[in-house]
Amino acid sequence: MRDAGREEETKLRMDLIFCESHFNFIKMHLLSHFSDHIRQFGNIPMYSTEFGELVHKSQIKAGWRQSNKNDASRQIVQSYSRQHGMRMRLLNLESLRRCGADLSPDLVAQFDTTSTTIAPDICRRMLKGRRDDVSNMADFSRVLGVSLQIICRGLIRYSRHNLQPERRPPEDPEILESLPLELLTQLEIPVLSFQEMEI
Amino acid sequence: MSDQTHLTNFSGDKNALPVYIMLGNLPSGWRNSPTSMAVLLLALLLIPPKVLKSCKADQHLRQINADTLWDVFEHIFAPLQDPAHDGVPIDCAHGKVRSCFPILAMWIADHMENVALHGIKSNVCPRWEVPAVELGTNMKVYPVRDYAIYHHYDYENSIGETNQADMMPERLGIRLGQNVFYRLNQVWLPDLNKPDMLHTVYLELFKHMMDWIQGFLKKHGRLEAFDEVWKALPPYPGFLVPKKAYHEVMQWQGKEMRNLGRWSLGVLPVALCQPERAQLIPFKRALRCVRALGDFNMMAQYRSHTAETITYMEDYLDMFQKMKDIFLEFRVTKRKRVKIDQQ
Repeated sequence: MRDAGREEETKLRMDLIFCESHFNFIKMHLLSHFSDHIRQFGNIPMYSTEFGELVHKSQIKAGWRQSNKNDASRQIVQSYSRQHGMRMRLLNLESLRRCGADLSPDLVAQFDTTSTTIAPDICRRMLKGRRDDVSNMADFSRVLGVSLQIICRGLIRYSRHNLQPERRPPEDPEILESLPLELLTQLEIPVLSFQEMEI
Repeated sequence: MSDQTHLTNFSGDKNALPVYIMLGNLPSGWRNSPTSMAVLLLALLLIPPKVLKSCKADQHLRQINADTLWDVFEHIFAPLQDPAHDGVPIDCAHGKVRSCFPILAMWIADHMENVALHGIKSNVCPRWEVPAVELGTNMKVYPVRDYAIYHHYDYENSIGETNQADMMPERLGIRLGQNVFYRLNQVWLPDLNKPDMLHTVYLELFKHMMDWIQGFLKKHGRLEAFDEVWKALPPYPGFLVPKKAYHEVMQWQGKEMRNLGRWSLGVLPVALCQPERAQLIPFKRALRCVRALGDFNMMAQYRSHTAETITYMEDYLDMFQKMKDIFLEFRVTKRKRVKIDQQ
């Protein structure tokens, strides 16, 4: 008897739950705009709100942290506009310099240290595969057309920076010259002067 | 673009509402990169103290808040008004001067932001006149909102020619005279509002879906199996491995929710394997529902579309809407559940 009552109760409860709940919330509806929006305006990631949160970080929150929390909004606005003005000016000057404008030597020196543009990739020459007429460094430099001095300098710098003392090759240029090439399996020496010629 | 943000994470309840501006005709990849300086802070508004719904004095305070917001935006948009009509000469990068017509083309914001700025209620769509009880139906038969007409009604009301209009705002879910964009020239208001993947899909629907799934699994006694598979996911480049079960995590970030959309579909079938006879159909429907939402999400992230991909997207959405009833019983909020229990 009691079981039947309970069963009925659960059934009633389930019915109530089904009546009361619905899917009518706003985010459900907003989905139906997506396809029309794509047809009309293009893809959706373009309008992402996600990067807005990034912008908050650099423009608002950094400014808030630098302020003295006293009439902060003014300080936040000022702090970012100062940064922005400075960066715009730097970019302008730099593009002027690239166009060949006459800038004061101080400024040019300043740019060389703080330049924001990325340095061009250094071109490298490679000896691919084994060749009969290349046995030591002297031949190597002759075949690649790179001066022996540059190679030696590069080698020594590399070994000083990266190798442990006991594994370093000798630093005397004459010994280096006669080293068999097989010792140096991966040798890439940036050649600036050569690169300019190529381009 | 605007978005309310917290200034501090720790002390004090400090909020601000920054308004940004950017150029719509920049390539999106460039515009959206934070280092490109394409986004400029246009205004930083203060947030008025929060007002509770109840008392009448607060109602007055709210009206003041809304009016202030309206005035501030009037001020912000003022320089856009005349150029949108008559054009303005602007120096271009190639050294020539062109006559440009700057127009407010979009307003990137989450839904609550749109609610505040368009002067609508929070369960109302800013584009279409959809009644609240039909929000979950995925029909596309509603008239587009025309804010100019609303304003007209408002005007008629104010000079005392009351007709059926006094019923309008209640039915349409709008607060009259509070749309900050209303006076802008050359702007079609419903189109300002843009779809927002982060807040609509990742933070909201995935969260709802996970709650439904948890309820569903609990009902069928598969929750433990689900958690086990969940934690045993192997790592993969570009894929964050969950360390805790879903219900053990306190808060989810947008990025995590996006990942979750990918793996939830993989985990669910394993947890639901070998169903009993009675469970066969519900399991199948639940899987199809989750799959449809996952697929829809993936399609929406496409960077370029063809007619075919859009049709796919619509089909997935239809499928999701059709199958979602399997989760209906888990839509109940706790408060409602208590109320039902009392009856």
